[in-house]
Amino acid sequence: MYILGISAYYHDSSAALLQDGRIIVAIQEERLSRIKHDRSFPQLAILKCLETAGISIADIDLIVYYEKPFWKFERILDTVTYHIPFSFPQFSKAIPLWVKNRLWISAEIKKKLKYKGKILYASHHESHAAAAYYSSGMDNAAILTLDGVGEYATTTLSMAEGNKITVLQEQNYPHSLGLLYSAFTQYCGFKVNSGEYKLMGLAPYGKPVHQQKIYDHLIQSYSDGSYRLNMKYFNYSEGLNMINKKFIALFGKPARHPESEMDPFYIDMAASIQIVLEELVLKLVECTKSLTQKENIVFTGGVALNCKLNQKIVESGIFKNQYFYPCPGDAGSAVGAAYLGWHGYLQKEKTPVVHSPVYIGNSFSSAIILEQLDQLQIPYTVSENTTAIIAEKLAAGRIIGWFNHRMEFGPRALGNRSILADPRKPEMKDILNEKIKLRESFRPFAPIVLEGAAHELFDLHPANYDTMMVTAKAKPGALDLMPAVIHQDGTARIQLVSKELNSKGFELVEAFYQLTGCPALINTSFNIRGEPIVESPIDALRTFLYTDIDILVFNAEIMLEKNADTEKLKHIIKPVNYAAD
Amino acid sequence: MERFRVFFQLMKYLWTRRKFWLIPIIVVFVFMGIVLVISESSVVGSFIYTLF
Repeated sequence: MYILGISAYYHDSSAALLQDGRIIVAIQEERLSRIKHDRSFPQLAILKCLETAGISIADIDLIVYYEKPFWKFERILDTVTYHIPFSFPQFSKAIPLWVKNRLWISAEIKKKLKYKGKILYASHHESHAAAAYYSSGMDNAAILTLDGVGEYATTTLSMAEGNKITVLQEQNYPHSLGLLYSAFTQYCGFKVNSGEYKLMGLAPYGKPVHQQKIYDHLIQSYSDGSYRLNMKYFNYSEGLNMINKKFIALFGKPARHPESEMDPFYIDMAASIQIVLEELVLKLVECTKSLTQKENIVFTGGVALNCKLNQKIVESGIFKNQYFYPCPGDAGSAVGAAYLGWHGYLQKEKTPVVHSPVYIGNSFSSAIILEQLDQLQIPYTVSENTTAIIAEKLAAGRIIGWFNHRMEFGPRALGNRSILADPRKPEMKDILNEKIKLRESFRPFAPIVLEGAAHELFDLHPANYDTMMVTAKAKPGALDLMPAVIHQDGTARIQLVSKELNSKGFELVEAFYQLTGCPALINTSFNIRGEPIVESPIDALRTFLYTDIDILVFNAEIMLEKNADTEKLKHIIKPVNYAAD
Repeated sequence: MERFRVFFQLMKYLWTRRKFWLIPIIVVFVFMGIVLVISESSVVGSFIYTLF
């Protein structure tokens, strides 16, 4: 039986296909359309899911959409009506979007996919929670879901037992920790919905000097974990900005202009809101514990992408075990929607999790890649011993584009669409930021680390460190060994790799370890600023050609070195200008 | 036809939720929305589109 989960129209549209209780493929639309955070109907992703499974739309038994459009529309109308006439700018943007397609989801699905079967709607936070819990491998858990907003809910405390998820408490719009963090993201000159991780990366450089002011004026928290924002400082319920003049007057400086030089004031602001977020969420985690008395917690929703916050959760020891779903944003909700069709609607029992929820994208066989390279008349070498060769090249300071079989699902490149480099060289961070990724200099890089060696280098707690969702404190010695991946605050957003999770990635790091004594590599996503992570061999070739990546490796056996021949390819493969994110 | 069905489902939904007062507002908003869609060449969300 096949169930298709769809997430669309807000940010990061995606599709996920479930077969008999297991997600067999999931893809974000942006990877195929090449539009970062693409929010259009995920037609390409759906077709690719069907193609990967070798089925047609007629084989789909059920489609589940990841949220309830009527609930959401009701909330928007409530808000717009409440704020009339000041809400006209928002009304004039929102209503046409709804009239055009968002209100008619079932009609859109039926028309675009020529689908005649049943369509169900899950709630936004249920989809988040289901994706995380059913992927966790846990049999029971408390679930904390935090994001900007879905229909009404912004914060949900749930409990899962067996195949059943029950919502216990929720906090509703406009009071939202996700939107509070987004308000500061905008104030510090970054884009809402995509710049939050930059604010998080900036925080360790500053001092939380505005923390008390935030508590005094912007947010009131209560002993049961709930909180209320002081809406007189925010504009998102009526206008097209997150913050208003009162917010700016409160802090005494205008919002930072995007791309302008970074003033220490905004760095301190990033540090302040990060601390506030951590404190408020820890309160919620405590509340979740007392409410559920569970030993396991699953944390999801867009706020769960804040890996500094996740570190605080694991270090708090409130729960015995923690699970952070690697795709906690809206893209991952397609997975949750499909799971809810299976476990919620059809009441099917849980099946054991047998594979990573990450490596479920589409792949390209070596035969197909070789055919494409031959068509382009590009010289390459094929070797079964590529990992040893590449380890030597990495140790010599070369930067590698690593394209390996199934694409990752989620925002992180976890060793299948990655750029890899030597973390022992402190200058590597600047080289990668300036010459490869073309992005801000303060942004840190994460390491892929051999699982067996990680305990000696990092302070680890019971959590899934295999998906770069949690930062870990570096132990003495780690900074000397791998300075390029230790952030300003002495932490690293690690990805532990094992043979079972990613055999080729493991082999490569192991070979590098044998050669250098360093059990880690820099692992950053295979893309440049503003570009979605590469999906196809041609995407990889393009990024390879127009950056300072030295060597491109496909499926750990096909290798291309940059030389005069590859330069000639620039006549065939043209660059694409991506808007800065 | 599917759109008519969705529209009537929406009316039923509001009735069930006992939000009768929203029904005339929706009718007016949908009408105004259609006008806005027609008057614009493309419909694009703002940068805080995730809210709506």
